[in-house]
Amino acid sequence: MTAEPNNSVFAEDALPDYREKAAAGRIDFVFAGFTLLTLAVGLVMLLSASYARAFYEDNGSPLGIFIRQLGFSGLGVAAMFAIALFPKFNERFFEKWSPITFFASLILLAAVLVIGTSEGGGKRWINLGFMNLQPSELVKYTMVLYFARRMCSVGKKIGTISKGVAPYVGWLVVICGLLIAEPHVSACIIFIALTGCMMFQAGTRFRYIAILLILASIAAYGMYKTGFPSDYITERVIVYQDPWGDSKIAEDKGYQTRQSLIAVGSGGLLGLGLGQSRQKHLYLPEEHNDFIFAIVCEEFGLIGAIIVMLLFGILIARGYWLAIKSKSKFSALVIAGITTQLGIQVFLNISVVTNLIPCTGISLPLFSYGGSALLCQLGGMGIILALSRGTC
Amino acid sequence: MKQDKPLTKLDEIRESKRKKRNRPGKQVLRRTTVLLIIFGALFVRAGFQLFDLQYVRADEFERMAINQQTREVDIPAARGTIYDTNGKLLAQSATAYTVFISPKELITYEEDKTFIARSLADLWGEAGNSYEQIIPKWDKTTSWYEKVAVRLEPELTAKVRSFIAENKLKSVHIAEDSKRYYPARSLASQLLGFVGDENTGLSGLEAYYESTLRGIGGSTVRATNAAGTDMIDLQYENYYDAADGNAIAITIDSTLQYYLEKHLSRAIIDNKVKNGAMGIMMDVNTGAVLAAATLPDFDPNKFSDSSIIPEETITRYEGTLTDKEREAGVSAQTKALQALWKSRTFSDTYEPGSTFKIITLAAALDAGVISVNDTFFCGGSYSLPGDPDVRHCWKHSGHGSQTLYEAAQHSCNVAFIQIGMKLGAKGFYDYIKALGLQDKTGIDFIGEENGLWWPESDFYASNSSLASASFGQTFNITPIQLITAVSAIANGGNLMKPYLLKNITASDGTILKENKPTVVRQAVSEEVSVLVRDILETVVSAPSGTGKNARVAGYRVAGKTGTGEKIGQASNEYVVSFIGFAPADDPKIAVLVLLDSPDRTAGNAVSGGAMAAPVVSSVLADSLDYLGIPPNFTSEEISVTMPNAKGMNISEANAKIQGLGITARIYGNGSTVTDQVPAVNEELDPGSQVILYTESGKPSELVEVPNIFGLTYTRARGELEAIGLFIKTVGVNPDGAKSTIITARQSFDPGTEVAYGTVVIVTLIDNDPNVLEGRG
Repeated sequence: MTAEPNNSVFAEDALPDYREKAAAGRIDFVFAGFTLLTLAVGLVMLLSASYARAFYEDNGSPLGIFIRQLGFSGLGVAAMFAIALFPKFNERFFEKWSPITFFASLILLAAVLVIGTSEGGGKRWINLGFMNLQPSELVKYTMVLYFARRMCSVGKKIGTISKGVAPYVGWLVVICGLLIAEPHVSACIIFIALTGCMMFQAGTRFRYIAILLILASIAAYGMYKTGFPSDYITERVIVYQDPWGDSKIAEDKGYQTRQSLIAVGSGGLLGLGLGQSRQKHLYLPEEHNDFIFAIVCEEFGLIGAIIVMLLFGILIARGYWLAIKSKSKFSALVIAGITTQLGIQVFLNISVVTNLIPCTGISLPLFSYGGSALLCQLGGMGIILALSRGTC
Repeated sequence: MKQDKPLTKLDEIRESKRKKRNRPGKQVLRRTTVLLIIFGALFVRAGFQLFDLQYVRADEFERMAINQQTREVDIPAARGTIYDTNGKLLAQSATAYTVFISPKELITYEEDKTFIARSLADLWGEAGNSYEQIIPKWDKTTSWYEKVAVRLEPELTAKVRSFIAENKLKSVHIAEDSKRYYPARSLASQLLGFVGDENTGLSGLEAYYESTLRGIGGSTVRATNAAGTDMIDLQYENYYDAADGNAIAITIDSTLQYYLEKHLSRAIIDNKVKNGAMGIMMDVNTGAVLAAATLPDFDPNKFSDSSIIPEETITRYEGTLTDKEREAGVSAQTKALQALWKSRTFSDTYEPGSTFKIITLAAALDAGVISVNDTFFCGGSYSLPGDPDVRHCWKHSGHGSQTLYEAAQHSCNVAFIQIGMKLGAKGFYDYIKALGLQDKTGIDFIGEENGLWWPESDFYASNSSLASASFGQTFNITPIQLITAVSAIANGGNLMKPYLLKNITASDGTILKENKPTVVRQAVSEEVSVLVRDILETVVSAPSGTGKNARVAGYRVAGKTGTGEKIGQASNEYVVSFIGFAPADDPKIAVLVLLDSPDRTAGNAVSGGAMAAPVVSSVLADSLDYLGIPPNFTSEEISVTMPNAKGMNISEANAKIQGLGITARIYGNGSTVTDQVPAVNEELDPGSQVILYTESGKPSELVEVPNIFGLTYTRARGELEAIGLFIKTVGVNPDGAKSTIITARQSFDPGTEVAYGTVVIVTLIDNDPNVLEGRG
């Protein structure tokens, strides 16, 4: 990379070609740095959180989970920098390939229903031999790219229903349909919220978004009231209202929430110290997955939890700042979309762990255990870095 | 740039247009900012939630965390020992074990519950839960701790331990516990009581002194994971030491208790007593209870063993079960056991009968309404003016004119009604109260009852109730109330508070509390006390005294018989009793014996004089000697001590033996005594014939002791001597001419095998119905 100092004297061309600048520009060190820092903290927490259960249940090999995640982190970081640094990966590249990758990932998402393997929940993974690929993680990013491309291509028509609402809602129905078939309902929440945010950001008229919001609320309330399609929504709301309630449902289904709250609350202001969590000793289920933040709270207290939230907050704020600074609408929508996705997951995860919202399975990016999710997240970070090259 | 060709002009224009079109519009930038603000707000909201949980409510969650993350294992405190007054062990705790199962671990480690339950039940038999009891406990799948055996002996525990080790079981555990041992078995069983599964005193002194004996349990707190095993990395363990219980010594003297129980149980057999016997021995001067027995009794080591209860008793309790009890699952066995556990001496009330005349006598003397010189006429009955009830004396022909002494000796109802009338209802009640007979005595024991008296207004309204009360009828009191009141009259007038606790000592031996006698009040004067003692001594010593069968050779015994009707019982059952104290001039101990419902077919008259007095005599004889109170024999009471004649020549031996007031029969043709029966130092009655051997021939086989109950002295002696046994009599004097003097008790039970030449001690009583008080 031999960026010539910018000494053009032409007025119109005083700003060099953005592609050139992007290709030549350096990546955003702040965003990259905080991504790596957050990942590092996440890895340490994963080691601490997974250690006890791995010890008790995997015949005394307490590092297994950590080492796998470490491997994926290495892979992910390599991917992130590859995307961020290779000039080939520029706006045009992403724009060009976004439909194909989106459709390909959708096919994978559908294929999961046929060839997928199930672990715990539904059929969500495709066994690639060396790892299990979770197509829904992939779709989160390909969808952002594809939607951004469509949103750019319609120009001012984004204000119409046919160009600004229908295609996205339509695709959302397809995606959610496939997810519910797995079933993987919690992921739907992320897709719905993400799509909504992107539409809002791209310029869909506010009243349509408001109507969709109201419809979604009515649907959610209806599902809670009627217990359709499944009782578990009602159950989770009951647990949410009082995890220590006397009802049989609260008693049977509230264990996870109760243990999480005990972990969070008993951490106090300063926490028990790194590695000192007691709830991870088989009390708190999912302690290295969706509930890893509870261990953060227990070991580092309120102060530590706020610091971790600040790490994510800085990443999110920086992401939006990069979006605002970006030179094209496509970049702005993609950067903001990926950032929004990060923000949604962080907020929902922390809210579930602290019982601010009813329990649903949402992992904490860069912290929770999971290979394909981590690879996709770091890849997503790479896209942000690639698209924001040279804007700061 | 290397990757692209240099841009043509056309390219530049196209690119520039595209760039313009692609510039993010202001709306996009604005809306991105809005998203940023929304997320900022959401994060702040989540931050507040964290603040609420981790700061505001942190303590609450910390408590919950500690509660679930730690397991507390109790360390039992060693329960305090119970000693008798001389430091003899009565109750002691020793290490035993609790075996418990953990259904949760059974599931975790997939162990075989039927195999474990079957093996454990087979292993310990009766000592722990049966197979059927264990199986349902496995179903409590969230439980870590279900007891299946408590207070298991160390030997059995060792077997359980090796069973666990052999099968590498993780769901069966052993914890230390303690077990209560009562080395004296059934001795003073109701007094001592027993402890239940939680090492808690459930009855008797174990229950009354629970807080003293129990101690404070300690615990171990360990950090454990949700599977119940130790947390790795966190070796948190905290010990809270157990404080052992304090030991108590009680006023009971095991030896005296043994004498009392021995003679009571013999009396139950001799008199075919249907409903048990009770007895109390009290230190007259302090109120300390030296012995207190209720028979039948039980072994506190296996207090819940109902197999010792006779079938007919169970059947009787079957009839008393109420519907409510049946519903609650109370069985006749349970009720019978509960009755067996009760210390009836403190918690049963009865109609005292004539023993109560002591109270009337002392009260009237103390009030000054009668004097020792008064005479009383008994025509056989007494009628109150205007009262249709005619009260008969037990001797329907009447006692004629009597002195006060004679009235007491005769136990004359009519005389005592007259004495009561002089006292008046108010005066009578004042003394009843002064002698503590309307209050619980306050003895340190669980379940003391109070007597049953008329309300004052009813009692004062007419003299009708007073007339019956004067000779001890138509009201109820407890045995402890009576002996406490009589002790007050005997000891110079001080009503003492009866007590069982001697002292409390810490586990290191330091004395924490020494119990002191408590004077409640001076109830009668010293002079009255002296006079009543003198009168009561003649009740035993006078030839016409109703209490003559309480005589103890060498000691001055005072006392009074009693025959009380069992109120509310249609079957004409009585409680016969005798209360005595000795020595009469300087009383040390008082003994009260009650026999509940003796059988009139037993041979003796159903009266305190014939049935209870000999028991008191035997108890006093053993006890006074044991207490080291020196006897003072009259000439006719002196028995002969067998000298050693071995090695003497015949004439020498004969002379020595005849000099003692006994005769000798020579067996064999030798000139030197080679052997003798009875053995040296055995005591026997004057006039007995001993055997001296000059050659071998002394029978070596054992002799079976015959039943000589109810025989006259002459016949009893004849039966014994015929088979080579000797007799020594106690009780009334062996007046061969008087046919009513019969044997009431013998020192060896009939059928006992003893060596040839053994001396059998026989108690003689006078069964003369003209002397003994009966019920008319």
